[in-house]
Amino acid sequence: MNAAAVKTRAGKGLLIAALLCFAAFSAGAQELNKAETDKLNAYETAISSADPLGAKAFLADTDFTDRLKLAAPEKAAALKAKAQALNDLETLLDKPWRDNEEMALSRALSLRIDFNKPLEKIGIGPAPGNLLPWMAKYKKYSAHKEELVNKAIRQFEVIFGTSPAAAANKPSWEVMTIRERNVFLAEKANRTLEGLIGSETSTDKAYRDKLKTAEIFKYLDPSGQGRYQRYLSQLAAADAAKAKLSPSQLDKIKDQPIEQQMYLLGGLFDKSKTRGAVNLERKVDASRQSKPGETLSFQNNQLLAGMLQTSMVGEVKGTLAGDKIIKFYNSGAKLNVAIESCQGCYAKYEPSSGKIILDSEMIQQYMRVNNLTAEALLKDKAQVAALAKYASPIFVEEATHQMQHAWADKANVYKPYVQEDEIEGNSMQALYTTEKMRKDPKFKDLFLKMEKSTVYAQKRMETMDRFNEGPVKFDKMIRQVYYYGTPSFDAASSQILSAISAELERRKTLDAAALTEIEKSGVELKDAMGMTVQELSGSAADIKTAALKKIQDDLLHASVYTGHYESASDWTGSMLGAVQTSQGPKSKVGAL
Amino acid sequence: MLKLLLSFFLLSGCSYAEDNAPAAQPKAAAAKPAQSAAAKDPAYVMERFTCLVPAGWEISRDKASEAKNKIYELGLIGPRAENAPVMIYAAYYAKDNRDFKTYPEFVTRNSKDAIGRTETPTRKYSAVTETTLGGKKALAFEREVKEFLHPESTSEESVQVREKFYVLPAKEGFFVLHYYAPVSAFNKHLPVFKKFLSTFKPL
Repeated sequence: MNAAAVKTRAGKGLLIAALLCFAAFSAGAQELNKAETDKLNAYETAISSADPLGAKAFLADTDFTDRLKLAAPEKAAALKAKAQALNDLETLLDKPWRDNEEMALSRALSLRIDFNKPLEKIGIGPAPGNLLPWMAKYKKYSAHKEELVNKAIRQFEVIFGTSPAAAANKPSWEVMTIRERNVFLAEKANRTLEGLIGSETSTDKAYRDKLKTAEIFKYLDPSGQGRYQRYLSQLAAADAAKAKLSPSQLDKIKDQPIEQQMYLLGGLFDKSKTRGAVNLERKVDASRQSKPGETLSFQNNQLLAGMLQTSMVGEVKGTLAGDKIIKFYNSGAKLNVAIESCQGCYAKYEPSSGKIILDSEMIQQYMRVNNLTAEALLKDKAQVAALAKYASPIFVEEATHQMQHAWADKANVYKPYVQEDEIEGNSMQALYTTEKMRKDPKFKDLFLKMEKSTVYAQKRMETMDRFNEGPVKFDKMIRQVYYYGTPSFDAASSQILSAISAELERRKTLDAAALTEIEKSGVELKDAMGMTVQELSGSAADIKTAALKKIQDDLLHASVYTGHYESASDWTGSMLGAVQTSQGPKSKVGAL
Repeated sequence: MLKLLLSFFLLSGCSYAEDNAPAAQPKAAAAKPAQSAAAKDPAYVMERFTCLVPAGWEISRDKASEAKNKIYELGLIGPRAENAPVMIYAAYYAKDNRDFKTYPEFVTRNSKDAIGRTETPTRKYSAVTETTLGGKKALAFEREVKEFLHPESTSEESVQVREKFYVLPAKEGFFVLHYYAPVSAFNKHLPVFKKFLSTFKPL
């Protein structure tokens, strides 16, 4: 053995000793000491009793939560999920809810208080009755807010009154979740609405006022609400149009239900020249159903979708938001625009198919208002380009959602659909519209014309205005007013973490055969990564352990997500500043 | 453990301040009250200003957003009318706030729509006027907005609101006092806003 060999052996010995020391240290470091165990017990006691202050303290104590993640990862995830859920519930209820946001509050609560939700594990839910004692114990809200929460959880007496006859049904109502109660009430409201649309012939103000104040319609689900609002618009448009008709014309449409009245009115006002009649025609056209030539056949639909896809790229090019999107598509992402019924929305990105779907009714409404048949539209490139202009703000928003999914795929993290996605999407839309309004006179002219007759155009202008009034305030409006029913990242993350922790705990009690069966036939990581928050929470028992642990690990590193959302929000905010500075009109407000 | 109990205690104070029913005052403010000339009640202390919370109004704040964006806003939610709340916002925009470089920029962007119009199918703005508030010069304006409640869906549900603004320059940054009410209730609760203005004191 030479000196070099001795030196090598000695080096190896030192390395092994160092590794042993490190291993011993790591094992020691991973176990909580007495003080830390006491602290954990105090947090567990506070959070288990649904104390929101305990939850806040735990979430704020990042040194301890990091330590707990190392020592007991599953316990850390479970406790964090409960604490986040409690914190999220408190934040939700603290918001200044309006009376007419009762349904919004109800939906937001139903997302949180139900079967298999983190709140259920700390005594709030699945039936909502125990929310009120919790509010009384930990929160001191105004009498108005308490009343609103009673309405939002569909308390039995609020819905059915206090008569002894009604009381017989109370026990079965009490065990229903908010979601189940809303489904029951929505079905009842939908049946009433459809009955009126199909048979009622009145369109006058007294009838419309009666409809507007009818309690039953506040329970309509989103698609029912859309139909109800459209019905009200149709009634108003028909009533205004009827005032211009002769007695013989009026005679033709009396005794007809509303859809038939709108169809006949569309024919009576076609291509009117006088200014008042043009506006009336646009309103009638915007509200009525399409006539045969104004609908898109399957072939025309395919053709138009392809033409719009090309036009849309050209349309958004040269704007800050548009160039960001084009860069994304030029980097290999696939753009696939389709025209389909969006079921109550103007557009959506569908991750499963990779398609951006533009609502067929929105496009057909544009055609009706502009007196275009499908054939005339497809023959005229300038008309297709104008339609692309009209749809481009909502396209920018949906392309942003596609970019969000691509980001998650690239970062290899599970991505729940959350409010923060909509803050970025709506901000991109508003930034784009702001810039186009300043740079593109044709775009501006089109929207100034269309905002007089379509709510779609009015809403794009409103989104732009609210964003320009201040992006920070816009962020709050998105969360509170527009996307109340969508969970925040915190809420979604806590729900999933809770479901995964519970499932991993359950698996510790399973026998080898049951575990083998899950690993053999359970859901693979790839499929689990594509699941929604609800799907993942509801089917944790069917997902392979490695997939559950991967998603748990993703969500425990919350800064990956919050960093992404904050960076997106900072970008749109600062780009608005750039648009304001470079193109905006000079401030005429002098200093005081 | 002591640290844990202490953090519970401190959080308890914050929560009491913000979630209690209306007239409740923050413990932080109670510990170091800024006495109002008009009343003996302790004033609510915010970054760079104090004010009195009207009786019966709820307090709403987002401290995380304040710290990040340097816009320190106190929201006060009052009685409901026409299905919507009447609200008062008092905010201090620090010099390095995220959204506006100067107060004239705030006024320009809030007293016209995004393309410079003062009347649109969904909005109507008043002229901006110079005025005084607590002896300090301020700019004032109003706007009326048809606010859609579901911009993401095809629903047309909306509420007509009227808003009044006072913008006061500060040594660094500026203050915004904002009154928001459904049109039908605007005049009814305007005296509450005016009384609130009289208790507002920049620090």
